[in-house]
Formats: sequence, C-alpha cells, structure tokens
Amino acid sequence: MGETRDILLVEDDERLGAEVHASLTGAGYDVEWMTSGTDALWVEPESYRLIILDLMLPGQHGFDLLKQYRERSDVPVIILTARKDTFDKVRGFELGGDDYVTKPFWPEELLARVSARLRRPVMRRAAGIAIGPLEIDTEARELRLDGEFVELTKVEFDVLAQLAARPNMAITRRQLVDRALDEEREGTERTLDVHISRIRKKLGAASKHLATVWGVGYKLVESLEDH
Amino acid sequence: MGLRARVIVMLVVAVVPITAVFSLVRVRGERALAAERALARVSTRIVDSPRGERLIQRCQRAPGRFIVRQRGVTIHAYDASLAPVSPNAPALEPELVEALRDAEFGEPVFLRGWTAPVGVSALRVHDLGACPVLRLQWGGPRGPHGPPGGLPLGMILWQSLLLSGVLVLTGAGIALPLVRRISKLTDAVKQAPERDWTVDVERNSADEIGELARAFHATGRKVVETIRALEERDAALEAYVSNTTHDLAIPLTVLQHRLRAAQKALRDGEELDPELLGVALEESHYIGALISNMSAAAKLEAAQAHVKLHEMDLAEVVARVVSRHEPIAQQRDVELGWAAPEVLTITGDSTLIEQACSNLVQNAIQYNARGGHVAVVLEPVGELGFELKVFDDGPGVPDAMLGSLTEREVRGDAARSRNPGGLGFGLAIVRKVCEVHGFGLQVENAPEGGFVVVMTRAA
Repeated sequence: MGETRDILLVEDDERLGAEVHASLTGAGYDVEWMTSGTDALWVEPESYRLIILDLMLPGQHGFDLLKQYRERSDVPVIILTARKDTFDKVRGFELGGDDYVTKPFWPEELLARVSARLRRPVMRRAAGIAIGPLEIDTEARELRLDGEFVELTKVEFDVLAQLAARPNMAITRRQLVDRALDEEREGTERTLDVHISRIRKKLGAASKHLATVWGVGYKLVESLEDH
Repeated sequence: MGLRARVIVMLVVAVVPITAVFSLVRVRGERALAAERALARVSTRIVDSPRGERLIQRCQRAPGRFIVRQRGVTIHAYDASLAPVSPNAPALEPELVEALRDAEFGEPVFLRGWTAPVGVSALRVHDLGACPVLRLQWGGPRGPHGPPGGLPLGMILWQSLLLSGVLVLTGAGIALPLVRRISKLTDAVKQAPERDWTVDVERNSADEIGELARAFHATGRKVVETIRALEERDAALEAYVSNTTHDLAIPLTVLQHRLRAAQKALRDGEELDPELLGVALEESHYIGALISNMSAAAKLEAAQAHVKLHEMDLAEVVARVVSRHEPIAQQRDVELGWAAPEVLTITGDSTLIEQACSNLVQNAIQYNARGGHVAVVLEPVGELGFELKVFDDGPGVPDAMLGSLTEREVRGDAARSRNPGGLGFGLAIVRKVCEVHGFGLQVENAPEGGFVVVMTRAA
C-alpha cells in the first residue's frame, strides 16, 4: 500500500481528462488519472481521498466500478456524467455515489464539489470557533480578536454566534432576527442592521470578515480573498 | 373447411345415423307392443272360448301333426317335459322355459329383450295329457311390406329421411346465419385499417358476436390513440432537433469568431484582452444552458411528461446551481448571494427542479447590468413547504410582457432569443416544472426595481 494520493480521476476522453487533470493539479491536488475502466477496476480505493468517476467508460460501466469500490471502501466518489437523467442520478446515489457533476461544467464547479467533499472542518477549539482573527467561544460567550477580548452585548454575541455556526454561508436577515434578537422586544430587520453595524465597529479592521450579502443577509467569511 | 361446410357435414353425419337408429328402436318397440297385444288376445281366446277348447282337443287327438296358422299367429304345442310334440315345431326357447316355470295357467309369457325375435310367447293351458303348453308366434301385421316377421325397412328409411331433413334444416337454420354474421364481422375487421380502425358491424348486438365486435372496435380505438401519441412524440422530437440546431448555431458562431480573434491576436504578438475571452466564456455558458433546457423541454413536452419523483434535498440543489453560475456571475461582474437551510427534503424530479432553478438564476444574471446583484433565498415553510425566491436589481421586465411570461407554450422564435423576450423560454420550463410538481409560481417586478420570481410549495 503506497502513500495516499488525493484524487483518482477515471476519465477516458483524452482532452477532457487533460483539462480536468490540469485544473485539479492547478488547485494544489495530487491527482492520478486513469483512462481505462478495466485498469481502474484493480485500484485500491482506500489509497485515495476522493475518486472522480466518469460513467461512460469503454469496457466497464462507471456504475460497475462504483459497486466494486463500495464493496471495499467508503471513499467519497463524485460521478461525472453527460446524462441528466434523474433515473441515472438516483441510481448513482443508490449505488453509493456521493455527488455528481454533469457535463458540460466549468472547472470551478468541479473544484467546488471537490473541496466540499474534502472540506477540512473549520477549526474548533473546545466550544469555540475560529474564523480568521476571530475566536468565538460559545460556552463562555466570549469574543477574542487576535487574542484580545472584545466586549459584546448579549444580542450582539447571539447574532455573531449564529453567523459563526455556519461560516462562509449567508444567513437570512429573518433567521437572524428570529433566532438572535430579543423576542420580547420584537426586533425588526432594521434593528438587526443596527446591531450589525455596532458589531462591525467593535471588530475594527476585522469587520471585513462580516460581509453583507445583498438581498439575503450576512455571512462570516474566513478568507478575505473569497469572492 | 369453412364453418358452413363443417356445420352441414356434421349435421348430416350425425343426424342421419341418429335418426335411423332412433327410428329402428321406435319401430321395433311398437311392433313388440303390437305383438304382445295380439298374442295376449289370442291366448285369452284359447283359454276361455269353445274354439280354444276345440283347438286343444285337435292337438290331443293328433299331436304329431299339430300346427295352427290363424290370423298371422302360428301355434305349436309342447308336452309336459316341454319338448315339441310335432317334429316340425321349433324347440322352446330357454327364456320361455324359464318363464313358464312360474307362470299361471292361461297367462302368456313373452320373449323379451333386444336380441330376441319379436312376438314369441308361450302359454300353459292345462296339465292333463298331451299339449299342456303352446307356443305362439306372431307373424307381423298383414300387408305387402316385406316378409312376415321382418322389419319394414322401407318405412324406416322414409321416416329417417324425413326426420333427418327436418333436423338438418333446423340446425342449418340456426348455425348458418351465425356463420354469416361472423363472416361479415371478419370482413369489417379486415377493412378496419382503411376506415380509421373502426369496426361498425354488429356493434349493437347483445350476444357474444356483438361483444367480439365491440372488443375489436375498442382495440381499434387504442391503436389510433397509440399511433397518435407516437406521431406526437415524433413531431416533438423533430422540433427539438431542429430547434437545437438553430439555437446553438448563433452562440457557437460567436464563440468561433472570438476564439479565432484571440488566436490571431496572440499570433500577431498583440496584447490579449481578457474581455475577448470573457465573451467566449459567456457564449459557451449560454450553450450549456440551452442544451440543458432543450433536454428538459423534450422531456416535458412528450406525450406524457417523463417525471421521476423521488426524495431529494432542495437545499443541495440550490447550492449546486449557485456554484454552477458563480463563474459566469463573476465574469459579468454580478454579485451572486444565496442562503439555504442545511437540508430541505422534498419529493420531486431532481433533474427537472435543478433545471428550473438554474433557469431562474441564469435569467437573473443574464438580464442584469454590470455591478448588479442577484439573491437566491430558500426557506422552509412549516413542515413540508418551502419558498424559493430569486431576485435581482436589474431592469426587470416590461409590464406588458409580464402577462405573456405566464403563457404555457413559449416555443416561438422570439422566446428563444437572448433578448428580454427570450426570458420566456427558460421561464416556460420553470412554469411547466412547477405545474408538474404542484408548486406555485409568481413573477413580478419588484417595487424598488428589479425582478422577483418566487417558487413555493404549501406547508
């Protein structure tokens, strides 16, 4: 058993395979690319962190490969297919596929699915969440910025905690109002906006991590290069 | 052999022998009865009348020559040991001997049975001296028909023929009209293909032939329906192929031009403007969207929409759709934001729903200006419902067009163009998908500007 490689790509089309290989390696992954379905039968799925599997392969249908892999391993499998048939999709999931990408696709699409499957969980320390320079301790109900304690009101902390629970995902205004604002006071979305602007003031330079999402609400972003 | 011929042959082959046998049996029975009556009369007379006495005396005087022939009855005599008294007399049949044992004086016993000759009886007249037992044989009705004791073959033949004739006529009278009806029905069925697969004959008859006719007719209707459905599907397929060819031609041409221009620029050592390729990017994205839409349209327009319902996560579909459109949103400098719960399970055809969501997002991005914004918000409603809202701050849609966007069939050329009128095709797919799933759909211009589409499912 050799070392674990990141990704196994099973795609028989030379040009498409080359493009996908280039885009994945360009994103920093270590990729092994096989063009033959029959060869791919003999691999040890456990030696990869993720498998990208084209369905239409000469000699061996992708579903058969998938069945073989599933007998030996739970490694995540993304199915590549040109067919948009729901029946095929359902079948793919039944056989143990984790995700699918339909052709044609942009390189970013596949990369997004790959990173979603290989996502490293956001660093959690004890009862806390770390996002960039921010550390949110939900138990002690404390916010630290670059290690320094930041004073927040109860409501302000609740709002931030909601955002931190799903980092990089936008949360709607309504949800924030429902879950974080004081029920008795009947907070409105206007009130929420005010709270947000106060939190931003307290975050100073780090306030860029608290992004407004037009038409939706707000989100906490880990990396400022995002978007 | 046709039914008619078979019916007739069977009637003749069955009926004639049956009636012959029937007649034979009847005639024999009648003769036996007549014989017994006659013999009984004669026996009575022998025992009770003076003539009978004289007859017995004659026998006793000259037994060796005793034989009487009177009115068709032949009488022989037998002694106490039941042996014939005269050498010309036949031996007494064993059945008669048997029967005589228990017989009373003066009571005739008859030879019975199918194989026995008709009209033979014996009689015990006294037990004193010679001729205690007489054997009487009936010679048959006097007449010119055949020898006495024989069967009247002529009469039997006559009767059989008459009866046969009647039976054959009756049988034919019942069977032949039925055969004729079946023949007519067969002709009608054979001609059905030319008559739009209808069978008009015998439709109102109450019997089995009528049922057969109705069944043929029903089958014919089904054939017509099936043919029509197949023709519809063929037409839809043809339209699909021709539309696809037409609609792909334009963006593909733009793509070819742009790529050629980029290649030329690079070859000439010119600065390559990324914008050049930006347009190529957009065209190819558009081509991808078009292909997906065509495929969804073909599925939905088929005689029976091919919808496969299954449990699916709508939140995941939204995430996927957004991720697919992010590159193009970036390209057009449009901000694409979205929010959805972790999981939102519904029952639906995930391919069609994904296509519908994709069209909404695609439209919102496509008809927006640079620097614009698009938001995609999915929220649960109650236990089973959801609300999916896609809105933007673009120019919206002219109010006059809003109405036509709700039209079902948006297959015209205008619908498929990239201009705001072309909005229609993607929306037509969305509308059809919503219909098929029972989702609600609202489109409107937002009061603050921009366009809003809301897809809902009640809780």
